[in-house]
Amino acid sequence: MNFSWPSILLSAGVSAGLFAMSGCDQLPGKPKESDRWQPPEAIKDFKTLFGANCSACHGDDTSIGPSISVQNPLYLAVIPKDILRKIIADGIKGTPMPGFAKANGGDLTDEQVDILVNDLTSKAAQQTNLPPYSAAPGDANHGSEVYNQYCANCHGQAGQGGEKAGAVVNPDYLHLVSDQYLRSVVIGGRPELGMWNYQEFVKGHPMSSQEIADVVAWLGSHRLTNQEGNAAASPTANGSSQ
Amino acid sequence: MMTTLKNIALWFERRLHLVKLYEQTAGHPVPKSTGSWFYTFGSMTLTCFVIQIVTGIFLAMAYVPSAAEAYHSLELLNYAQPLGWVMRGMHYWGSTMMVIVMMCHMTQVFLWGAYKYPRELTWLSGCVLLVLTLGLAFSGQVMRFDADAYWGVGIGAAVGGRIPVVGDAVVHLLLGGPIIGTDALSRFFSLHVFILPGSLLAFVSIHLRLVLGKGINEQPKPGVLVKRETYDQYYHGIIKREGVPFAAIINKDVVANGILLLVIVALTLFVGPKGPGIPANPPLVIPEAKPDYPFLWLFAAAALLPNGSEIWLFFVFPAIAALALFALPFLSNEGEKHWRRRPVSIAIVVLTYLGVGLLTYEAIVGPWSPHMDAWSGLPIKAEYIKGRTPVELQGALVFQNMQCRNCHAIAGEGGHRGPDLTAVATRMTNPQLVRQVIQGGGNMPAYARNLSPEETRALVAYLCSLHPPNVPPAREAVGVLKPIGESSPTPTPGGNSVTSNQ
Amino acid sequence: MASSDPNEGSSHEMPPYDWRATRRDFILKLGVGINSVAGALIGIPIIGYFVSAIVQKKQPTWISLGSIDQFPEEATRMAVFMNPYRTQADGDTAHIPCWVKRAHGENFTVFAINCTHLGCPVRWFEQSKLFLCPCHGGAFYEDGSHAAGPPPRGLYHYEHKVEKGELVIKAGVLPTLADPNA
Repeated sequence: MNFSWPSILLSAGVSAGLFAMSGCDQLPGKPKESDRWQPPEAIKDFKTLFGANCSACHGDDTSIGPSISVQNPLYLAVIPKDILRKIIADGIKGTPMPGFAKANGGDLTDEQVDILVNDLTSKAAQQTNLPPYSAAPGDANHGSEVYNQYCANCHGQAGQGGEKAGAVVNPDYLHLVSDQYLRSVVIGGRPELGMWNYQEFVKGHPMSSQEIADVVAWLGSHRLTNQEGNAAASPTANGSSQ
Repeated sequence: MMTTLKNIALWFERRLHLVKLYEQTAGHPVPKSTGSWFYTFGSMTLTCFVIQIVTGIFLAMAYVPSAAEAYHSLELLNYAQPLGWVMRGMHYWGSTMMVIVMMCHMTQVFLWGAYKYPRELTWLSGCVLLVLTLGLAFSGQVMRFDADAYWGVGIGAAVGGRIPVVGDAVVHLLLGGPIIGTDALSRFFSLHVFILPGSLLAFVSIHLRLVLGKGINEQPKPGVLVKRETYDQYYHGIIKREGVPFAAIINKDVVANGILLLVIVALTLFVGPKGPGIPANPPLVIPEAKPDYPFLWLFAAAALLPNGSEIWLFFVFPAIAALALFALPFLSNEGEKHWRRRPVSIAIVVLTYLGVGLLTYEAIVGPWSPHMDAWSGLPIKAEYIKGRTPVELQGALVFQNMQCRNCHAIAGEGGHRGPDLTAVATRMTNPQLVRQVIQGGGNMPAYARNLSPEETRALVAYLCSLHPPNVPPAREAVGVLKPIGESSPTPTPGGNSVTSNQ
Repeated sequence: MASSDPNEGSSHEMPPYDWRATRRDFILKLGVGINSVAGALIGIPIIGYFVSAIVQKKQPTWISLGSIDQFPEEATRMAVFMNPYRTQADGDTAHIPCWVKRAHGENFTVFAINCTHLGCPVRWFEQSKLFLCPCHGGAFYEDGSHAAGPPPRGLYHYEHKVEKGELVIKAGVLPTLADPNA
């Protein structure tokens, strides 16, 4: 053995001392302020709030939601801020949109709802002359013509589905969406899915507000008024048109 | 000068009898063959315990054992008290390592046959130490008074409440009152810092006294059988031939313990202490509540065993296990010691480790726990949304909104309690899916009351779109039985194997 | 182990001792007697202290959850009450949550938060009308009945009544299978 006791102890002491002097503050094991638990009410970051509460249905930057994208600039430019706030806080009765405000059994404080609303509206497109967010019911008969002019190219004859897009007159679909939802989709399109907005269906000829109302009325006229066939979820009535 | 020193030394020796103490402890003769790496785990366990005592004392200087203050005092240790986080880290990792090396020690003793005659009591005291150590580990995680600890106590109470007849009394005794609060914490605190460590010290003394009294087990030789009549003489012979003072063979223990300490320090400095997590505030919604590593396997077993077997898991099985451990030195008191000639013992060790290991892995993955936030915070990957018809998209919305995602994954993301539905259309047809959604079954709730017919049809339409582009969806086989050879439907991979889901 | 006897070699030889000497025997017996009495006087309070939690068992009491107006009809909401047996040291743990289902009017059902499997906190999901447990995946329907997973029974109910426009429940004891308070 070439090692003598003093040399071993000395080198051990020196290396431990150097390690200690290098500072414990940079060590990965030291708990960081950011690791500290925060009450859910303290989350003020839009991305976290949106990711935890909205992204599953409305999609985010990297994914597509089954429902409309609420980060679509055109949609955000059309929807009035107070309505957006009311929808997030109270939800929309009769649709899957739940109310997120604490008063409605949700998890978000008023301040957090405001953060969502403010951040979303700041992404609105800077356009004027946009059709209003909502409108009185239109004329379904005229809507049929409007459909053929703007929509049939993709959604097929009489809305039965085409090569580029599926059926829009499926009674189950129409039962599950409101006229307002249909209007929002027609205006804003679904760019994330390849659907154009109201200005793009026919190049250089945006739909008028009345045309939009009419085509929504025409779509709504395909809703089943009677409940026959709905008593049991009959598999024969499924709307898959692949 | 030398004579003065010598006189001082002699003065102390005459009063302390240190030479005699040395002869009876560090100087007691042991077989030379026990100077082995395999014999280092016992001293390592003791080293861990010393670390626990030292760090525990310093933690107790800051810790406030009250439900109102405990969490806050841990935050102070983590963020305010200089090096408080190091104490917490060393206590946490010391505890983890203590359980690990204790299990190594126990396994080695078992495989080396050291529990046989005449060391039965050494084994029994070791079994008590095992129970005490696990008790310390459990009560220790309650000290970290966060949501995991709070609901862990709740699980303890719920288990106690399953005991027939006396269950209610057990719950109240455990909690020190009718409900989980500061009394429950104080009880676990008393257990953790007084009762269990005190008992552990007492039993460590007995354990060491027995080791000294009966000598360290020699390295067994295959074919050399233990007999009550001859063993004492045999061991005496070994000592006579190759006995060395215990102090002469501690070199490997010193190295092993040094490495152990470095591992604890490294884990502390580079991984750090655990938690505290979500505070123990009952109305806070928690995504999950899991125990620390030593108890994860039990947690997994509680989820995986068939419903109603909890009484077996929590009472009958531990009772049998304890009985088996305590009876072992009497059931197998003599005979072969070497593990090579004890296939049953090897099988027991392998099966135990496999079982505990697999259950622990399962508990880490936790496939039975719903992913509570998936429905609102976990988007579906674009490829499972693109190209769908409007009604199918609406079905995907139903899928998310009705919390289906909390239990069912798509493309591996989501809950894993139910089957992954990435390619469900290749396994189930439309009517089968409708039936499953409406009636539930196979551990799935029935959704008949919660879904409208339109929602059900839209949901199933979406599910029917979930199949790889090159694999067609499953088809109905009813009423189309054709003679073999005629174009029968091509079976798809896993096609129509729906029985397991019904 | 040649010399494991701690007294060996200590060279303290003593004359043989007669343990049956009567006078010493009497004093010893007296001493044992005194200590038995003292032991009982010390031991009984210690045991009494320890088991007081079951001897003087706390019973559920009526606690108000506040005005019934805060619970919308056809909805299930979390309500939080203060543990009636709380002490100052209980801190946050004195806040006990429960799930209040208001069908209509004064038709209420109040569920304990504790899963009947192992006591973890169940969470209500308004959309699917299910209670889900985060620990082992137990699921319960809107009416508290067992839907799926390992729980052996439906959710625990608290006894309740409506008094002067307030919802009052009988609570304060952790519900377990041994004492479901239902």
